Amino acid sequence: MSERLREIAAEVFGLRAEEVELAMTPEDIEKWDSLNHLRLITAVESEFNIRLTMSQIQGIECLRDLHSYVEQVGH
Amino acid sequence: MKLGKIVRRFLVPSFVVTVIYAFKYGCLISPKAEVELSPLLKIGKGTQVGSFTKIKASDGPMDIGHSSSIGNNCFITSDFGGVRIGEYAMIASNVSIIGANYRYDDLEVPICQQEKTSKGIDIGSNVWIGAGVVILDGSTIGNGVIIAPNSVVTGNLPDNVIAQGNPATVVFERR
Repeated sequence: MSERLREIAAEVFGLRAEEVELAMTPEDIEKWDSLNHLRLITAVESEFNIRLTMSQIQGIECLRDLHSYVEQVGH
Repeated sequence: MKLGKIVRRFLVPSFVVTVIYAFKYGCLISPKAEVELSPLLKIGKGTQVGSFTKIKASDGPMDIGHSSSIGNNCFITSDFGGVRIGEYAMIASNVSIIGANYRYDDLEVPICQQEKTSKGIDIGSNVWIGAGVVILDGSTIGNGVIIAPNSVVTGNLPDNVIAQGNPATVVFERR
């Protein structure tokens, strides 16, 4: 799952998958702005068939946080 | 151009228009805005219109809901299809809302002399339209929609989404 999450993030942020790590934050990724944050959430929700709450979405500070939510909500 | 239209458009000073609309509808139009005095234009109570914004409603109905705000330097024009903007709409600066189109299917006739079309524009309530957005004729924007700056809206956006791009597409469903 983490591999697929990295691929999605890479696609949203215009990077190569191998450049993306789960520890990355918006400060590490130039294109991680507020709109791309929402694009990422939409893409991840669609891929893993989940729906996060607004507070969860706003609380995501790095890709690992998103990964944790996917694990929590998806199982 | 009809005489009445000429008088309303060119001979009535802006501050007079501001006063008339303030008394008629209770809305706040900047004296530096250029809002046409037209029986087809209805503006809800408490709605504000910023400086240098131009609103033309002599060729079709325009209905702007109450408690909305329209920023500076916007251009809003309606034609026979009409333009409707709901309540509590936030429209930032430099937004264009164009409620008409020209046909262009006759190569022998200049485009400006071909027939106009107007499907109308319907913008819901509680929307937030970012700076520089262009909304073209035939667009329908649902309630609670947010449109990112400089997007171009050409079709339908459902309720409670965030849209971006040219043409604007949904990037997120609000919740």
